[in-house]
Amino acid sequence: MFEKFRCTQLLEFDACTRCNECLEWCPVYQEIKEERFVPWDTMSEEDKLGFTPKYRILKMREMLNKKYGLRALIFGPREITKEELERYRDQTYMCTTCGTCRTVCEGRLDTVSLWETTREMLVEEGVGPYGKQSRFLEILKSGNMYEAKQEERLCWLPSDIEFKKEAEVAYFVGCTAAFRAQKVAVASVRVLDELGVPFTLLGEEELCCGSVLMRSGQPSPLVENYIIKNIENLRKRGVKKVVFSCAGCMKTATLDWPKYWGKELPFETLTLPQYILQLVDEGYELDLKPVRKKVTYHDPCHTGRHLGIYEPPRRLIQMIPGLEFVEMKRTRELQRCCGAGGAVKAGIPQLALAISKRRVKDAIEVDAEMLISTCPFCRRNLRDGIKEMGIDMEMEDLMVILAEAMGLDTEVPENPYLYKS
Amino acid sequence: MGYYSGEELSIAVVSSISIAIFVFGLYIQFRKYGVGKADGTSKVGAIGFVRLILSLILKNIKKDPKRFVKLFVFGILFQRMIFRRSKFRWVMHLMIFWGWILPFIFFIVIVFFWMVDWIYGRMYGVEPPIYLTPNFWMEELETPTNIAEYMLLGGISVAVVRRLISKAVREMSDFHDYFLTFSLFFVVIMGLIAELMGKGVFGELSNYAPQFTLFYEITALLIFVALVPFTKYFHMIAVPLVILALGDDRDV
Ligand code: HEM
Ligand code: SF4
Ligand code: SF4
Repeated sequence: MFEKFRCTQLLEFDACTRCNECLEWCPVYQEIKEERFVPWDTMSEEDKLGFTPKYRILKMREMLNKKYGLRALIFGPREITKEELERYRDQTYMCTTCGTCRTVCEGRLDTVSLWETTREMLVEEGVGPYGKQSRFLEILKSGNMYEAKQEERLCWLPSDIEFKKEAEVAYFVGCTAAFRAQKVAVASVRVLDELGVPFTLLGEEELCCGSVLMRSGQPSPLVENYIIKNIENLRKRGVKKVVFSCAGCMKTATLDWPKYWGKELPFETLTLPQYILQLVDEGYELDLKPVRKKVTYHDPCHTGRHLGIYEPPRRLIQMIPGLEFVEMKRTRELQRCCGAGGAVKAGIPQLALAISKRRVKDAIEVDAEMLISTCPFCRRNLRDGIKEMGIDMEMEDLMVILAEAMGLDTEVPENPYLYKS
Repeated sequence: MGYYSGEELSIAVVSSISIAIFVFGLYIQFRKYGVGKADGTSKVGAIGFVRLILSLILKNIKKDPKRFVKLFVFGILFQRMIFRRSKFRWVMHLMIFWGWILPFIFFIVIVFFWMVDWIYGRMYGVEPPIYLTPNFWMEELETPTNIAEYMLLGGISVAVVRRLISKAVREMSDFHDYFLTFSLFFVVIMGLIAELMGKGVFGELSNYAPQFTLFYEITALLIFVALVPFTKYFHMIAVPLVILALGDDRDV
């Protein structure tokens, strides 16, 4: 059961210095501690602590020692019960893999990677994943996260936008922008088109990046197959740069794809703000009209803490005239997660909602009229939080704001998924 | 036998036992980590784990030597990850760390010169120059050792008081935390008493200074050596190994 971990990961379980720092920062624990989200029917304070990164590490250490510690060596290994594993499953899956614990960890544990391997272990033991997440594998057989028709991947594409069969730049749309947050996809191609960048789209050949399965501990031959096909299709089109509007796809392509590909990817991966700023730095002048709003920026965990991309979106926001930009208290590496990641939105939507409301409150605290982010998944979850709170705040993707500042039409053409957007 | 005093013999025996327990404990830990994967193969065993750690460290050195030095200095020697979270805890831990590690290094220096002295004597049949003798270094290092020990006393006293007076810290502590902090405090206080006894500060009781010193040294060996792999003391091995082996992109 522990064979899933790398040796160094097993060492990490013993390197927790019990400094308690992660307890202060974990967005999930905060909701559980303050009982805005209650995972089990009866919850003692000790049960609540079981959901913290520290106690999850210590519990794994305990289980490992049950099998391989000093006592196990002398008196024989002790059993790890199914009930124990099921409780641990709940604690492990109620985690957005946001990585705040990784940032603050004084023992410098690579927690996110520990959580993902733990999930793989639980799946192998037959107790994971959690709730609806167990349908992911079945759903993904459709090629995408929403069981939509692959041939409709470009159903959102405005008819006046032309893309090339082959080009140096590819826009990887991702399942969420293609079938749900379609405005983000429309805005992204409009901006690329306006910048005069010849770009390609994979269309129905674009397969899910694999993020949801990996985050929920279910990397499978299907994921591997999709990743390899995506890379090969991009390579076939002569792509040198792949640009992303989805933070989840960006992280997965940058950090996980090379592991499956076995070597460096044959192209560079960039978020759209990074790519646009490359063009600006090469001399392209953006013609931007004023947008009069007080805005704040939410760093998606996947491009922020996991990839360290903090400045490009801020630079771009500050280039738009009229926008008054304010930072929330928790930003950059200490940003508060929106609550959607780590397959939580699909598996434990009430938890995702509770965390998103907390993040919206951060924006209210600085009197922002609009929350901006660079991830369709954050966009969706923060919008759900705003709706639930019944407040007057907007949430939009930076690409949509930029397109509008450039005077571009971001209207999504009629398509079968429009009502879901 | 006749060459050694009873005290020296006891220390030698307890040292050997402590080191044996330490090595055994380390083996159990490494064997446990060896259950995991290294280069795609599972269950590589204790040796496989050691091999993996060494190869990762070497890889990180080769990949970016500057970054490696930075990780070593800021991560291990100055623990900037604690500094980032709490200046107060950082000062406390740094005092404990350097207060513990310096006398340890000095001890190694003295053992080294003791060996030089012995080998020199065998090779040339005469006493080595004074600066190559252990006595010279013992005297030279006495003041720095004292400073380090007071630093350790200061740091660990703060840790003890913090655990006693702060409800928040107490609530989050269990046996492992108390054992580390209080055992360290206990040993340091014993050391202080032994030193003061040696100086005759405790009147009549000072007659027992040699016995007390022996008791202190044995306790220190058992706690600081034998129990390391089995207690929270182990973090002084595990954390540096994690820092150097992962060598990741986070700021140090
Ligand atoms: C080798 C590198 C070391 C690293 C990276 C390290 C790291 C840490 C960290 C991150 C903590 C948690 C901080 C906290 O609870 O406030 C801690 C606690 C502690 N460390 Fe270390 N440590 C190291 C070596 C040592 C050594 C050599 C000692 C001396 C025996 C030591 C003694 C302690 C003690 C007593 C505590 C608990 C403090 C308390 O009671 O609050 N550490 N260490
Ligand atoms: S990754 Fe985020 S949600 Fe998960 S334990 Fe760490 S801080 Fe909590
Ligand atoms: S921050 Fe890291 S070292 Fe501190 S308690 Fe949490 S997991 Fe352990």
